[in-house]
Amino acid sequence: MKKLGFLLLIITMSSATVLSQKPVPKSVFSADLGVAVAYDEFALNSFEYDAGFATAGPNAEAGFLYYGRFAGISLGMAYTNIFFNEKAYQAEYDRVLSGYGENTVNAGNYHVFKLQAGLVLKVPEFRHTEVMLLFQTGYALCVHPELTVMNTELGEINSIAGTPGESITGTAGLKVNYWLSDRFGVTLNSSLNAVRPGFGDDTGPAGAFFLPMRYYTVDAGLVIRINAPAQ
Amino acid sequence: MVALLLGSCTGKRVNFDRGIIPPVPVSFSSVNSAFDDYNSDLRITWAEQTFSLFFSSNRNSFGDDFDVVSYIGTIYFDLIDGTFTMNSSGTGFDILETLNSSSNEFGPFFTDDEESDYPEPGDEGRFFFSSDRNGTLDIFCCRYNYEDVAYNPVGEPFPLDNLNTEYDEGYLTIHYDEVADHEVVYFTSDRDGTFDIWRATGEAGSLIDESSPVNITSMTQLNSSADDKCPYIDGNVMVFASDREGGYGGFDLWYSVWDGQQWMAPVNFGDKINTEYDEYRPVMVITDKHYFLNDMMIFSSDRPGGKGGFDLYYVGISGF
Repeated sequence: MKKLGFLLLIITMSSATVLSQKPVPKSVFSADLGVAVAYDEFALNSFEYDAGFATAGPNAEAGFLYYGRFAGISLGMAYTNIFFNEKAYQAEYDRVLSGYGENTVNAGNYHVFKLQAGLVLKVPEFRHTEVMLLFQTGYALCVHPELTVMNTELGEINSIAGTPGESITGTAGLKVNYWLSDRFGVTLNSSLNAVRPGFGDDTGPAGAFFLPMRYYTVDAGLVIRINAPAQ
Repeated sequence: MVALLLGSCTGKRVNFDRGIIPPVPVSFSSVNSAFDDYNSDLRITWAEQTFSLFFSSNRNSFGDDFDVVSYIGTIYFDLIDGTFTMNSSGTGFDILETLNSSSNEFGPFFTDDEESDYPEPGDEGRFFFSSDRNGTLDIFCCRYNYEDVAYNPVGEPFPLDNLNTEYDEGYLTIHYDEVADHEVVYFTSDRDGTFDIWRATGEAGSLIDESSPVNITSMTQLNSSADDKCPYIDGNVMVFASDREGGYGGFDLWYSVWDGQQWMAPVNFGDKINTEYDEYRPVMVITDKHYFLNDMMIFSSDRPGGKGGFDLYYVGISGF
């Protein structure tokens, strides 16, 4: 709770700083679509600690930004769906069991739904272009792929239910807006994302586990200035 | 939820719900030597992941006579990367000084007559083995007490005169609960010309080593015209060695399942376990299914790739 309070204080102070800037700050709605790609342990395709066997998948984000010339705040939500690499996972079982029986892997996808808030640091607009850094934190609801591994000789080797897990999120991103008019523009985003949800595993020895999930996103979309000056 | 967010759980995602003993034979290199190592018996304490292993080896005499040697060690399965290891961490029990002689000692088989899940101080048991100290192979028994992770002999080994003949007898194993109130044992003997598997039933209420002359019959449904040796029973599965037709060369490993009334027709373990070389003296340990998905078998083989002569191998088996 102390951590959450500290974050709110920082956001409030940043808001006060932004509000004191001239000229009138922009209120911008942003929506974009793109792709998320797993990296670090989350993308490992071998039986190692924290290996996620995650690949890539679609990513969708929407948010509100309020900023002046140099800084601002942001609120956003995002949904990410990352595919589980069934083929690589099965290959690892084939390797460990040395061809004993036939292995079958059935897995769904990772899902991450995030609600975040944070700071915006930017350089002043030039040639209708804004370049800004976004640092956000918040809450994530993640879902582990429903996973079942069967071997024709041994039966069920591994299973994990597709249960939800919660996590604090951390995101650092670069966002470039190009304004086509006073009200509309296009945007390009790229961000690094980290969550570490705890998932239940009824059939495992510990009953639960944490899985570090790190992925980057590349999105493109639209920005709309809500408080555009009158023509 | 707060506890979940702040990370009170440190568990890792595992790729195996239970352990799996490698389904292809693995040389038990931490106990094998350049000499012949075979004829084992194994006790595993699953909750503690430890084992006690006894087997025959001619290492002590540098290739001359066989003695029973022993090891203790640990079993470990990594639920994340799927590696299985059996490492020895010590050797030697006092009972060996009582068992071994200048002759050959083969086929150890020890019981826990307290029938506890893991050995406890004060447990009593019987250590059966065969020895040719009297000329031909005979079955002997030595009683023991389990104390301080040690098998301490109680008295001297004595031959089982109700089973032994002027021919070779060895490799006694017990089939628990086959006949109510009677101890039923199986063993190998060549009293009919070739080595066959025989069955003996003790007197009501008596252990086999305390019984008067017992009822002994040849297991015709298991035996062949070739040599059938080294029966070993855990639960309702018997594993044994035979050089009968239908194998892959030399002695192969076979198994038979007790259906509650009789032993079913023997089945070869297949080419993942058997080779053109000799596979000998299988010992099966039914695992605690809370920890492992398959069962363990230890056997000896003179196949290439070992340390020399016969070596011990372990392998996971399933499907009975």
